[in-house]
Amino acid sequence: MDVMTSTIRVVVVEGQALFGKALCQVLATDRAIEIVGDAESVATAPLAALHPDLIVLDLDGHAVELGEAMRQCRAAAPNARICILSAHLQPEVMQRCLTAGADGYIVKDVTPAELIRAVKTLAAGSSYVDPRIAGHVLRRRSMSNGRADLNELSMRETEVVRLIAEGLSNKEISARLKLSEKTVKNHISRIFSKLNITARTQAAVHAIKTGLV
Amino acid sequence: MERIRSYVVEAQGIFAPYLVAVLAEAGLDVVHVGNSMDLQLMSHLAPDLLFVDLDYVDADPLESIRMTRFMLPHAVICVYTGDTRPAWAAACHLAGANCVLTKRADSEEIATGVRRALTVGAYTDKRFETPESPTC
Repeated sequence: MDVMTSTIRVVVVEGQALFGKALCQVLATDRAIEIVGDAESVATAPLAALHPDLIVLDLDGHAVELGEAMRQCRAAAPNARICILSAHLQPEVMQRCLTAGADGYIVKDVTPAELIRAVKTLAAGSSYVDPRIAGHVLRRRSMSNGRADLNELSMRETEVVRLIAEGLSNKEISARLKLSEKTVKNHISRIFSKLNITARTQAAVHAIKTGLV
Repeated sequence: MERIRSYVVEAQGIFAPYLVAVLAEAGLDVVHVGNSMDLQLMSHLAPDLLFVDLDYVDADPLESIRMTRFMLPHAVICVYTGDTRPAWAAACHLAGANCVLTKRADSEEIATGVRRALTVGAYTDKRFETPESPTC
């Protein structure tokens, strides 16, 4: 936060040009929030120069994978908090974002007042997820006693599921991820075990349901 | 310009007022903004143009377009979608949409699309022509 003025410096990264502008307009109505930049992709957002306190990052419509977008944000603005903005109200999608390192998760049908509340909550150092799916996080936490869920897919496994859903063969996945075919097979075995499935089509269905593709 | 009575379906509360302002700027007279496709209300209001955010309709998007076309055969139907596959644009047109716009369209492109749909009868966002549109 800006010490002199106590405003929250926000950068909006939103692939939908008009939605991004609407978002900026809503956030700018609150005096505690300053929109210091907006861009259609992480690659075009000069995050390092803008020193944001918070990056509002659109989950949908990005050419790069979520984990990579998050990595780019963290590299350019290590102190910024990251709030994912998504069209998905599914707990699985939210969980994937939190696992990837997001501090907050907002669904795009949020009201202006709730959006501003979320931004302020995140800037204050707390977490924020859409209240409609927040219960899912608490349930998972209590079921795993605070430990990471053993059935949760790793970033690499998530990437493999996404490529399976795109119809790639093991050979193509290995080429794309620069891994051996044996390693890809191992990842797939673990994915099947964690998701309790037995076929690639079921993995593809999982990817679609959780917004990976 | 002739008064174009328009019905807007946009479920994103933050975005709806902004979209309405863009459409008004494009010369449309927005008579209703809703977060769902209320076919009965649409039929009652008999708008000249429908602008529908396809990503948030409750029912199957293509079926919704077909149903709207059936209920309002003379209305111009503009759909706004996050799906940029050319096949998806074709399916929307085939279902009865006159204008298919991607969510990467800016206000000027939306205005162009709506005007073309009203005058020529059809418009497809140019982004559908390239399967992998660049983001920067």
